[in-house]
Amino acid sequence: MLLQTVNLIKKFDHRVVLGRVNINLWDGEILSLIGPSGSGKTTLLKCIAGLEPVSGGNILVREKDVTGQKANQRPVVMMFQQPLLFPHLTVMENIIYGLKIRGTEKKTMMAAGEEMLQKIELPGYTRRYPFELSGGQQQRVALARALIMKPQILLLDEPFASLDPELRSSIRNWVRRLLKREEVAAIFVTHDREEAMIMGDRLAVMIRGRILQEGSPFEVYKKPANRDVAELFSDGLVLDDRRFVPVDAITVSDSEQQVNKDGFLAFKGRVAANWIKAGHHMIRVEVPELGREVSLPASKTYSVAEEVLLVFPRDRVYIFPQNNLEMEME
Amino acid sequence: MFVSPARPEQQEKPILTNGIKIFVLLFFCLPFAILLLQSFSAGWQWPRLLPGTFSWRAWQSLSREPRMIPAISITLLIGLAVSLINLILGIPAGKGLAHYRFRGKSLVEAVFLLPLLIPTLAVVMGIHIFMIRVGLTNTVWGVILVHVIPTLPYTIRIFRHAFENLGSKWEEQAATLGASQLTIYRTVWLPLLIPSIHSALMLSFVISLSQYALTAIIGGGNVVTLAMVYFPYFQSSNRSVLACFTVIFALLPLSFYLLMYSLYKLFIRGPGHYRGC
Repeated sequence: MLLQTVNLIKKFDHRVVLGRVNINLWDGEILSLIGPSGSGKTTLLKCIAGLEPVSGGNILVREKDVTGQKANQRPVVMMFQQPLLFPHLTVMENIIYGLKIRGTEKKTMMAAGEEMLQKIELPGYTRRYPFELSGGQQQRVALARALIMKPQILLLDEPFASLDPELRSSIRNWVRRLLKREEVAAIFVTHDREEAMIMGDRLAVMIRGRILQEGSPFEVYKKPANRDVAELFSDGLVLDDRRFVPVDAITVSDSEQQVNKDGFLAFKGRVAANWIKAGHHMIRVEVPELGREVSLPASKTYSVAEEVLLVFPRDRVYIFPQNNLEMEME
Repeated sequence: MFVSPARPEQQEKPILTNGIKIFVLLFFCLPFAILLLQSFSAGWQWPRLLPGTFSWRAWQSLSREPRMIPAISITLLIGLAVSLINLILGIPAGKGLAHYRFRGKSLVEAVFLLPLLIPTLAVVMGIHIFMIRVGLTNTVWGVILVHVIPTLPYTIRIFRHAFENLGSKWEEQAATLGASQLTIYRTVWLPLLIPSIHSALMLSFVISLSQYALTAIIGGGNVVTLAMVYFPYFQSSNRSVLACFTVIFALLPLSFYLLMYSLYKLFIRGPGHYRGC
């Protein structure tokens, strides 16, 4: 195993930010870490990178305890939300920054730098300065600066958050391919579901400083461990702390006929919004009885404020394997 | 963060530069021009707009002042040393105040500000006794140290502000790429702090330059800076000689600025654009 955190705890003053976090990362693997903002994702990365001291627990890299090591001694490189290219250095000087500190020979360094520029598809940018680059280009240079170090572990903290959506979706595929080609193991932090699914071989869901579920993205999507995970990562209607209906089981109806059928449940709702996504009519329905909202595809157009029924078969109700209450007590 | 093309600044420029131009003309160029004229005049009576006769007399009499050259040299030396000490102490102190949380931080901040709040003369009376004991009175070193008192609070504030603006993200980025604390200072902080270093150097140099009482008390008449020679001239009735002296006095910080500027141009490459960040 490449990276292992064992009961990692981080407290700021007396507030617990990370509570006994156990995360594993294997060679060449990309782990998506998803969670709402403020759930401790960035703090976890900073602890692994050595930028934040931990309050308890251990960090092991290839079974070796690195908890006490300084950031600059760890085989870990972190990339932040902002590109943070040093503004007084050229693109090339930025890329080879880490190699230079290591004392790499100049020739080797320059050759590696040129190669990296090719890989990030910015040849000829050697002497440019960061301010001459667009946001996406800056982020690519930042990635090159990290990858050139050939880190054992790369930590990516929402690296595309500052890019516009279109650029974001193209760059994420590109980054995933590059990481796979370079065989770098990475933890990829995001609060975007789609991004987490696309980027990660495996997924970990972090809420309130705890890892609530780990698994393949589809597994987590289809079988959320508890209400929090379902609300964050799955599409569907959370009925209560124990039960959940996936969106593909729900049909939208404006008649009451189906409800009378045995084996079906129905909830009254009101259309809050409608839009088209990937060619499908979508509606957002408020369910006053549950105090929740759900987005789902509809077979026809509904107008806003229209009353609808959400109908689903009883046997499609999914029961969470974990109870939130139990989680809190743990 | 990253400096985008300076478009918004350009829009504001016309009003701003005109304002600055008028300000500079009125409060800097005009007084200086009058000083220059005065230094070359041989009698300038009210209500004449310009001096009636010009002469070199004032400059000649000043050039006969034997203390002039040594005073200028020692002033430059002290100013330079004071500025450097300010950098060495001010940068880490500013960083500490900006980036770290620790117990008693507000107390430390208050202590750093005290030299500005308490009349320096009052403090120096105590320091004088201490310096007599350690044998620093009447020495250049003593004067340099005592000039640090009224300058350091400003320097710390300048760097504190700069570090607050820069944030600790740069340091984290460099550290994760393998840089040690020392390397981070050399490769990241110093280049990013250049505008602040510039201000701090200038400010401490100018403050050091104009110290009279502190130099007199600690230097004990042995350390004769330009201010020590200059201030007694106020009592002289010859306004032209005083004007000459003032011109020389004003040229010192100006030449220091030019020296700094050329060093800055010589050693710092890269676009000027990042300097604002």
